[in-house]
Amino acid sequence: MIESFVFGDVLPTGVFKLHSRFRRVSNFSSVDGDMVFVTDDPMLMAGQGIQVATNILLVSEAVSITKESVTIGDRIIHRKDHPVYTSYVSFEGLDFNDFETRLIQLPEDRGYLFPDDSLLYVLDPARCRFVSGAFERKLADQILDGAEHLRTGRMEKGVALLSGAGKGLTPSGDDFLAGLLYAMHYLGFKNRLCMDTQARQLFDISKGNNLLVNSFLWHAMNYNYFQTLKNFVYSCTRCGCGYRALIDLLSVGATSGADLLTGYIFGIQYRIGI
Amino acid sequence: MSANQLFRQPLKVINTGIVTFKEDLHRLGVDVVQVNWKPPVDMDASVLQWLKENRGKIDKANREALDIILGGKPFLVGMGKALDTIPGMKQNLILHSGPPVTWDRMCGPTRGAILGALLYEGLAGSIGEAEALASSGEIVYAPCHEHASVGPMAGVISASMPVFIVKNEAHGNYAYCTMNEGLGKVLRYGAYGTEVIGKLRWMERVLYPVLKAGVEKLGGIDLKNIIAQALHMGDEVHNRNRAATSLLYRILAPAVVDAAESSAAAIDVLDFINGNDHFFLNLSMPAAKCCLDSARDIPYSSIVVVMARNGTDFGVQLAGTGGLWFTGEAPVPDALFFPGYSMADANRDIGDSSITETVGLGGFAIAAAPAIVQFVGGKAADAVQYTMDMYEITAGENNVYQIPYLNFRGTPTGIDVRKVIEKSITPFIDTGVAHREPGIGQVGAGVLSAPVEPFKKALKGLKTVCEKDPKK
Amino acid sequence: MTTQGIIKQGVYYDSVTLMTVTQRINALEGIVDSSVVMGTRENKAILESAGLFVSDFADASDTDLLISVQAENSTFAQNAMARLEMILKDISSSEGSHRRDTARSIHDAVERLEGSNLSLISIAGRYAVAEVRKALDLGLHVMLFSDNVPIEDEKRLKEEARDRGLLLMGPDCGTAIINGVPLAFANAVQRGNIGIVAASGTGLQEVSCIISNRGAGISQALGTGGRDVKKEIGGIMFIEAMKALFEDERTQCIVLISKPPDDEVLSLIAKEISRTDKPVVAMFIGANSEKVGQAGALPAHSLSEAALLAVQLSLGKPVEDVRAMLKSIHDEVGSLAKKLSPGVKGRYVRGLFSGGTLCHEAQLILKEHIGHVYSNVPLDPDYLLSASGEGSFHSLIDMGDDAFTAGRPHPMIDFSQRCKRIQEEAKNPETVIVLFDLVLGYGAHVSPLDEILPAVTAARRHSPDLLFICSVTGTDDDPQNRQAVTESLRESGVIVMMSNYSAALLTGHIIKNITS
Repeated sequence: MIESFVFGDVLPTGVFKLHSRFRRVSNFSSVDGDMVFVTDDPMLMAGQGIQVATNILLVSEAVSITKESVTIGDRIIHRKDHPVYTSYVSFEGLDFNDFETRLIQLPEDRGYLFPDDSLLYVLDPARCRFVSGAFERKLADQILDGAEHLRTGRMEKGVALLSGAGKGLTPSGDDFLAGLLYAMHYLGFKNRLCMDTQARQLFDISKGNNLLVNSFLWHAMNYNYFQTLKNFVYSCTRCGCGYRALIDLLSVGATSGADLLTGYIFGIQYRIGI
Repeated sequence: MSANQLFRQPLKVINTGIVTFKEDLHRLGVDVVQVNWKPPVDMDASVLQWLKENRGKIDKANREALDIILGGKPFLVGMGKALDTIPGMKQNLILHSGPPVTWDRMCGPTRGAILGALLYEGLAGSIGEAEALASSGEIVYAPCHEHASVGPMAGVISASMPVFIVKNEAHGNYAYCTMNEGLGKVLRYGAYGTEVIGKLRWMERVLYPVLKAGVEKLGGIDLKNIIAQALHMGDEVHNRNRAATSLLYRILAPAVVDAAESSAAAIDVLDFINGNDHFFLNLSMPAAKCCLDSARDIPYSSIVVVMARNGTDFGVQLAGTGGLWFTGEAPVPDALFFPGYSMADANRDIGDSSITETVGLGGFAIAAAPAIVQFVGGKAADAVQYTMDMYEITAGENNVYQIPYLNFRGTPTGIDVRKVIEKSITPFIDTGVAHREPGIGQVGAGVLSAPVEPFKKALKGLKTVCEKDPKK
Repeated sequence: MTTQGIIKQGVYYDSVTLMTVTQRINALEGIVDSSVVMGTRENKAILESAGLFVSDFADASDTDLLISVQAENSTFAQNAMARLEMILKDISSSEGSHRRDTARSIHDAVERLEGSNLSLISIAGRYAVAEVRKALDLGLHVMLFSDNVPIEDEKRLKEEARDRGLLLMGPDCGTAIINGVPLAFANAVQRGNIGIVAASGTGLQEVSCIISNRGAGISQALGTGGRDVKKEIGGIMFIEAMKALFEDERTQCIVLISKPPDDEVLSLIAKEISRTDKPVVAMFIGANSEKVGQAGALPAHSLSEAALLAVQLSLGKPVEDVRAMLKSIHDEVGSLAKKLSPGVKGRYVRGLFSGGTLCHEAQLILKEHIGHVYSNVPLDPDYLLSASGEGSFHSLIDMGDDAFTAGRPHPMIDFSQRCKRIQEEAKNPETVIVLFDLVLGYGAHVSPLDEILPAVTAARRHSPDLLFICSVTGTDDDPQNRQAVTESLRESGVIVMMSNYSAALLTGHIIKNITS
């Protein structure tokens, strides 16, 4: 067949049934709660994803994955014939100081690119003026409260306040927590610490029944980077300004990318988990 | 909302009719939307009443039909001689495009193609003999559509012509179509000269066996997949098939090389496909046909399963009206003409290729094909407009065929004849234009809106059919 | 204030869709706040403290979508809930939509224009009924410009509209002013506290312009179409429009304008008048004003008088002053007539009107001064002009009458018939005065002078003694600018009067002067 496929490097094996379908992504879940997705948009690729060249396969009802092959609908594809997406990010040789300075400056330099209703007010209190609506105001109080707990070392309490709170398919607070998990990866590398326990603790408090959210957090805990986040991190570490990569990251979901990035910067700035 | 509530709100106006009223309001800063109103199609009150009463049943039937159409899985599974493969095919039977038509009412290109076919089959030795035979009554004519087949332009299929066999894997039904001959003097445009017949013989002798072996070697080619990708690459697979042909070529090339007896034959075959941007048209058509055919015989469904022209009449068939044809005069296309030709040379619209529109491609997907916007006035925005208009008359959106520019929105799919009549918008069709005289060939390409008459008749026919057999 | 919510189970929408849903719901009428979130424990707690929680949410899980709206009342909340499905569907398809400035159907238009509230319909009458019904079904008020709508349909549609609390202005409603917005053929008048209900288009225009030119303003001006006050319709919309203005806080006094209504309808109107405390001015051209007078309305005998009375009421000044104002107009016109009368040739006035009500009003005024005049729309059937409308004796022609417009645009847009007629009348030695109206405003000809001045100039070259008397209905804010039009007319030798009333009056005086 003529399509090219790309397979994520952390694809679980098993049989997966259609869970939810969006315009360019179909999510599939197994009875064990594992999730994979199929997309025809390279920018949406991640370790648990399968990238296809034609959207036709998004319509499939089921995906089954073995070590050798992937079956989407009634199409069988041999994994060895196709490239693999690497979800791993390496900080080897990184100028830590430069990286952190860039990130911490970001809200001030590029805050205007963030959606109005993102959680960036955690890093830039002046943005509280954008908050409107009763739900949003109460949410902001809770998020700020949670962030304060995190900052002052009360992880458990802080995570409890953030997890599941907010708007969107993955609630904003969960996006933020995913950002924190990715930040732990950096902090661990930089300080030569094993952060697995802290990450696991964070994940255990925040996981719920929503498979999409759980899968999202699980991959964050395992430091599996999705394409736009990977691009962003590399653009901050190696390629200068990262403007394009920033825009791409901020366009994930309505505020998901922005909230995750807010959590990421917050985690690094306040050394959460150390 | 009472008048007094109106007095407290900003005025927001919908203007139907005189456009200057809208322009005045616009200048005054008032929010206003203009309704591009057209007089409704004149329809019997009894039909409209019947539609109202049976709305639920029709909606349900249409959902069923749409699901079947969208669920179709067309695969190219093989090739064969028409006589051996097409159901009901006979030595003295000639299939043509569009609804049924007798020899005396046939247009020039169809007559020309039939003469060519008689020469090709060896049933006549000269044009004079062929003419005498064609009108003698010994030769039987039937629409391709009544034999699970489709043909572009004149659409002539005779017994020994090789055809593609396309299978709808979801329903097990088949559709057939000849191989595309390329541009220039070709049978489908009614040309019947020696070079035309010669090319057909070459296709039968060289192209067909190699392709047949190649397809068999590949074990089936997923046409829906190719079409879905081609739409992302600027085809609408009716008037533009360049991307789809290229994709097909990529699949076929190794198999052709493998199957050909000599490298010279392989080169000939590959060059032929490579040199014909429309090669894939004769696959996009049966792909559409087999998906639509599987949605036939759904009582009460007002979904169109066939739109086809024979150069004289424009015919329509519905999912809910069995094998009945509803016809009206085929229009002359508004086209871009090749140098030296004009509208005066053009034949009435012809061909089964409007099966692509019927399944949500072609003119319905023209927003996906910016490269051919010169057919619709030169602006990409016009192409988008045509596609947007087609959403008004379709039952749904395609789940696989998408238009990147419209944020990957599915193409408008499943023409609901009720909407055509209610909104007075007829399907928009991409088309090639044949010369009205046989033997000359293509003189232009363009677009047209289908005539309303067949759709009016179809709606009435649906009522009649449903009332005749009320238990269904 | 009320909060309502629903749960959507096991359906996933992407974040962008969810955000758009919130925005769209918030934009709906009467919605104070809304929230669309996944049903996590934390979100439920936040909803509770934000006052957006409903008891149904208690059992929701974090895979469910919770939608809650806070609205001014439960009707608004229910409406928002009802719209929700449509919004969700619409977002998924409109995400890929290409915005067009024209809609395919009224339904399409309603989806495009959030909060649309009025449908202006001007397609051919035989198709209009179906469009009106669609508009009413969508809860839209309707201004129906089209004519040739069967009277039975008019009645049925108006009853439907009334039962839904909607306005149906027309058929054959040429003008209205809603919330300060001039619709179809209407003028750019000041906003104020005078409400108008009119079964007469040009009557409405004339009155609203005089009011505006005199420094007062219009709250709402509602047209009903001429047939509304006939027996067959029974004044359905006239009454509904009156009620709406009685209730409207912005409207402090009300002017009613119509040709003589059917007797029973007049009684209904009188009954309605007696129910309000707001002052009402009634101008039922040529009708017996006793009934409305008894009901407490101020009867007016001309459009000008009606306008002057309304202005006084609007500004809180005594209505008795109007008599003095009218007298001073009379005096001014009288002395102008004296100045103009000597030296004229011919005997008859020929009036060429584009406004039907203006033609009617002029006939009434001339009748007082010189007796009945002939017309294609005469006050008294004995004075009906021959079918061809050939000028004979004194005659005033309504050129907007069907006999003249068949297949042509209205004479406010298309001046060709009037210009031709001006030439003909000028060549007739019996003509002493050509009286005409010029109606400005939206919808009317953008530069009427380009049409009318060459005709007048040519006619004056042929008969230099011929008098051209004209009234201009319009304001300085109109696209044509009344003052500029007036000045140009005067430069070309046309006598321009400030109202149709004074133009007719002047004509009457001059004819009287000649004949005595």
